[in-house]
Amino acid sequence: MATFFGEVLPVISRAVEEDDDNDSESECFESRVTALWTRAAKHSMSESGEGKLSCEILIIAVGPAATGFVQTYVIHKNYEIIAGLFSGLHEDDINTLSQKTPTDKSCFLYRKKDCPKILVCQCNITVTPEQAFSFTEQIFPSINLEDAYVSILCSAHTSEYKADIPISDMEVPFLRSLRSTKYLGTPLAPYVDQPNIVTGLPAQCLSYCQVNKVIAVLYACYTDSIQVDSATMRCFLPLIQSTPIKDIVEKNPKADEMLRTIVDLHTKHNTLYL
Amino acid sequence: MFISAESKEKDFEGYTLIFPAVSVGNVGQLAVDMIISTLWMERIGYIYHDSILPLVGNDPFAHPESISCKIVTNCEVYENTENKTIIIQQRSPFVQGKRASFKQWLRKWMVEMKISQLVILTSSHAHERIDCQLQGSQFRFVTGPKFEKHEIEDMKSRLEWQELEKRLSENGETEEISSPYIPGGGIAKSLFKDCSEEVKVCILLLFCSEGDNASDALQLAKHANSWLNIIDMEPKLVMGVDGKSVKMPGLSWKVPYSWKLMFGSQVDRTLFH
Repeated sequence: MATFFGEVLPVISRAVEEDDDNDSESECFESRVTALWTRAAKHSMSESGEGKLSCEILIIAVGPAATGFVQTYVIHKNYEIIAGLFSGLHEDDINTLSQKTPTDKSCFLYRKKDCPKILVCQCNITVTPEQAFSFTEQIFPSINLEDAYVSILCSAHTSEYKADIPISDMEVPFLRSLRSTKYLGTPLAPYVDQPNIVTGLPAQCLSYCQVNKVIAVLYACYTDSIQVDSATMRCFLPLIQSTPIKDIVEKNPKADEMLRTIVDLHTKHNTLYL
Repeated sequence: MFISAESKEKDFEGYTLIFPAVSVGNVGQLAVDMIISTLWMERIGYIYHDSILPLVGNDPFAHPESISCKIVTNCEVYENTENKTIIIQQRSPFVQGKRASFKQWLRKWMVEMKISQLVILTSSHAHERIDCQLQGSQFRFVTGPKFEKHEIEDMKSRLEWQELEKRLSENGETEEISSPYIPGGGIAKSLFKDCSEEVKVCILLLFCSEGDNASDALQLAKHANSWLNIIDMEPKLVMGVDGKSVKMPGLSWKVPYSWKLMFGSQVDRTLFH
């Protein structure tokens, strides 16, 4: 290239720089997740001999719809928090650590008080796909999953779903499932059909179970509402009759009321359609 | 790390490893999909590594009528014992900043498994071509230092392949063979650079643009097959039950079931009335 002064320089255009394979690039965000266990949990771990919590059923709920469902129908009674998972809160995040405000970005592992082999992970915070690996590495190795049933619940928007018929002709919300090879039963919902995929934290959890030969099933609820609504949360209701959840649910007489509160929490600050 | 789907130990001595780099139009990955699907290759294990974004789905190579579930993960290993070929299929992109750790792991694993040859399938931005690349075959190859002269000659004369043109580097010199110019080719170039001392490595690439890259993928798969001969397309004479020889058709390329709905769902036609 000739410059203003007439010299000829071997300049390479910026467009041909190989920006897509830069080894020296650094991780531009925090991709690690930290888990903090309560004293009680650590105590049970050390008691078990191999340093792991014994577990028969593990439910992992990701996102507001799944956590709302689990909060209302599964852990409404007799559960205690045994661990918190932290994946980077911002300075100005308002957090009450109780998962009861819409801004609450926490992720807790619960345990049933009268049956400590039942664990429930409520993940309300957005765990980025980059953090998902670290997330599973933080909790799964501390739980003995050898004979456990793992159930992963999550939700996605119908716009992400590809089907032969127009989505507008489908009845929403709808459930789809995937299972690990070790899960021999038939899930209660049709399988996620090709070419649809599940990504992010739920995918990482199921991948962990698949490669480590753990019995696991994933249910994804496809909804067309942007904010969480009771129809989306109720979409998971058939799962109350499914393995492994059917063995642990207790009737919640205040379910409808609780669902309404959860919907309110997520919609109150939205004044668009008032 | 590599986790075998079965419990027995694996040994890949003398095997060829085909690895697609996530690149423009995902041509390498699609080509590999085509090969796995055509050969009905068996999934023998998973690569569980923190450098690849998570993904699960139902079997991409399933029969259209199938109603069962066989989940796939973000990175898996397929094997064909007949041709001593293994394929690593990577289905999602890398986590930013973690490519180096994956390459390091892959290099170590290949040496450990005694893999004799690495074939990297990739693609390069069509808009970055130089004048002499605009016309004619859009396929190019690059070979590592472990390739013999006669092997390269064979590729050029028998297969009529063209070597990737060398470019001037920043200081005006011709680039070294260890550092080919493949913009948009993902980790192909750096993996090639890292592994060329230890394994026999080559890159097969196609110039292309983002879009419907199914035909590019088929072209790349055909090129790879013309050299590696892993898929037998020739019809064969087989002795029939009655003692007469019967002509059996060879394999033909099989598009994976998961390639359907490439452009999304059907939309309500009345929208356009």
